Amino acid sequence: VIVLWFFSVAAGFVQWLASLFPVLELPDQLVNLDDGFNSVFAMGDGLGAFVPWPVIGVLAAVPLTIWVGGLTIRALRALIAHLPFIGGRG
Amino acid sequence: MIGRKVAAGGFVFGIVVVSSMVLGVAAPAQAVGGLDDPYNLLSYVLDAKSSVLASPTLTANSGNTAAALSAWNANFKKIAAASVGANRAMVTTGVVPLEQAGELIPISDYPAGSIGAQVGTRLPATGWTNWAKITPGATVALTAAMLIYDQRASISQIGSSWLGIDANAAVCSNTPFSSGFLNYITGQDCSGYGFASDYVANTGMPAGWGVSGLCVPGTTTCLTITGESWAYLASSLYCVTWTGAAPVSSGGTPPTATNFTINLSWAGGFYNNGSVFLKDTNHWGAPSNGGMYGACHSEASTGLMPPNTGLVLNGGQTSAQPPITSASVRNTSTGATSAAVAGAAYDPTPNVVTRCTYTMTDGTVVSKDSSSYKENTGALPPDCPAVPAGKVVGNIATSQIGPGINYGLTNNDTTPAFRETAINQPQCLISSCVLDLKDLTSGKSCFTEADTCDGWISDPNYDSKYQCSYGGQNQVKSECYAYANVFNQAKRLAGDAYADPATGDDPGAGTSESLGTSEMGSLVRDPDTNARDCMGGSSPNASWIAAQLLKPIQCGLEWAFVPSAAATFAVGESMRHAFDERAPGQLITMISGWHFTANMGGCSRVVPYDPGAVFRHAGTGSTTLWNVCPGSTYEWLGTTSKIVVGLSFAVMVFLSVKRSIAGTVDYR
Repeated sequence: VIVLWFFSVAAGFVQWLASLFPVLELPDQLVNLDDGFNSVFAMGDGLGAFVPWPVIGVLAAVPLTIWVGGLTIRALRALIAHLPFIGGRG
Repeated sequence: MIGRKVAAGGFVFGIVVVSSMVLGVAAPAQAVGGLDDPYNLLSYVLDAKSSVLASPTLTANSGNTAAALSAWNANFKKIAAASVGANRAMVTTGVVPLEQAGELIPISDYPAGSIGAQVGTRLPATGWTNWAKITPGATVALTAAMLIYDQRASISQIGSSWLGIDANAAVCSNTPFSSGFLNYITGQDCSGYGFASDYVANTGMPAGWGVSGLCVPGTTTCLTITGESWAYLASSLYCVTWTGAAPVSSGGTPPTATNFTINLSWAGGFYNNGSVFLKDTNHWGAPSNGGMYGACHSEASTGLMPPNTGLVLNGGQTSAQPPITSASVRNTSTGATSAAVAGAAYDPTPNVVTRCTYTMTDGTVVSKDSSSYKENTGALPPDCPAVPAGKVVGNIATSQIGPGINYGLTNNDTTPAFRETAINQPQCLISSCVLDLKDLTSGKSCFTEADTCDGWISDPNYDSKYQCSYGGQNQVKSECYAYANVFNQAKRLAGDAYADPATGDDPGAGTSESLGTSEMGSLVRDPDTNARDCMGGSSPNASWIAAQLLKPIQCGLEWAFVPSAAATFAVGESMRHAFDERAPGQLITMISGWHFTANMGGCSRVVPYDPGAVFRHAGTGSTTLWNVCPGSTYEWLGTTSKIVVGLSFAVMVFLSVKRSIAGTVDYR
């Protein structure tokens, strides 16, 4: 019972946490959002002959990767600038 | 096995456990109406207790529907029976593998070689009447028989407690215990202790009245008169109950026809008891004006002996009676009339007691009242009187007593089996119903003499030197066969088990296992039944210390620190589903429910539509929108398109990247 009590406390915390959120009933449009997307994409059936999808995918990833990389570098530089022992000001 | 069960009685919780076992043996709850066998005493107790709690006559006036009362009783019995089931002998022994049961009984607590120490443990049961004999392989039946004996021992407590129910009350009425370890150990299900959820306490009952200290002028007789003016009584009747005069059975002199009459007054009138009188020394006479008995006391015609004798007076009313405001009493011999004593209305939910009355087989009657209680605030089990020494209970009756209340709850004769035990095995009624081997030379039990009885079983002078007995009654030698090894030094030193109780054969040496390997190494909880065996353990070879001390400790530790799989699962589920209805859970459910299928490959597109059918008004078909697959006429169109689109996109990406990188180095 002692261990179970701790379990119960944990469960109580989780349930309390859950109670902070509203009870939600999602509209069907959101729940079935995939249906809409799928029907849109279904219209593109056969376009593979005209559009090189694999190439498009790779190319689209290039600028995204570069942007994320640049952002990471700048964030690191900003952090390092705060370290006192390498010249930062805390 | 046997040794452990015997020693269980010595454990600190022994009383409670034995009581639990009583519950266990008494599984089939039966209605009142005679006790078929000793262990149906429990049924009787259950019936009595439920009757007390439900108080049918009172509750009939309280708004409780018959269905509610019935549900209450059913619920009580169901839960009680469930509690019984959890403690049944078969369940208890169910954790012992049958193939192990009844094999060997170690003489485990014998301190080898220590002269003067007690030897072995006396066994609680062998067959002396029709109970199961101890035979290897029949231990389950044996255990049941032993528990019956245990119960018989508990029956002795009839004088001071309420058998298993007392344990139930002791555990369940005590809040710290009711959901605590003791409750766990005893297995009492306290959910049945109390009122059912649909039980309606007595409230709003019509007020009755009471007059006390009403003394007959010129005599020593004083009366306490209580009565009811409840509307449910037949119209024009008052129900009067009086106490105060000494019962005839106690040597008192009953009032006679010439002693007194009672005068009653109520708002708007009075009643002079001119037509109701005492007929003879024991009986109230029938009202001469046509009044009737029976509405409030069913024994009116069988002799109304004080105290608590009902009397019906005709009040001359034709509707519900108004409360009595005062009463006086007139000595009919002298004509003197006492002063009128004002009546006092009594509580609509009056204080009552439960009276337990024993009628001994020799006719002696003893009774005892429980503490006072109000029906709507709980009910106490009867507090039964002590059984006088040398007497045997022949009948047990309980009743609920209060102002204007005298309801018989139960009335049962004890069984012949119980009486037989009480007479022939009186020791069995004081929890010491053991199989003993007596040393006739010293007059003491062999169990108190250590080695002096060694070799008894092969002693040619057995008849003159030893006596086997059970519960104080002599038995034939064979009944003590189980002790063959106990009083045999070589066997003891070898650690042999108890001998086969049926034959006296030695089961062999080395059967006693150490604590660590046998008892403590086994789980308390049986994974199949999920039941814990806190008092015995699973190994029949376990020592007394293991079974009686360490096992309960292990059991307690497991109870404290090892959550059951079911409880853990339940807690886990509650956590797992905590968010189900909430926004995060709903979002997760929604997203995880999405399934995207994007198939935009292929080199042709065919749709199920035939333009020709539009004009022909017939037929179905399909139309190829495009086909640029390899080998087709327009293959080049697809290839060209792919090159153009790919290059265009590449250029766009190049420009975008170039702009980003150039920006970082400030070069365009």
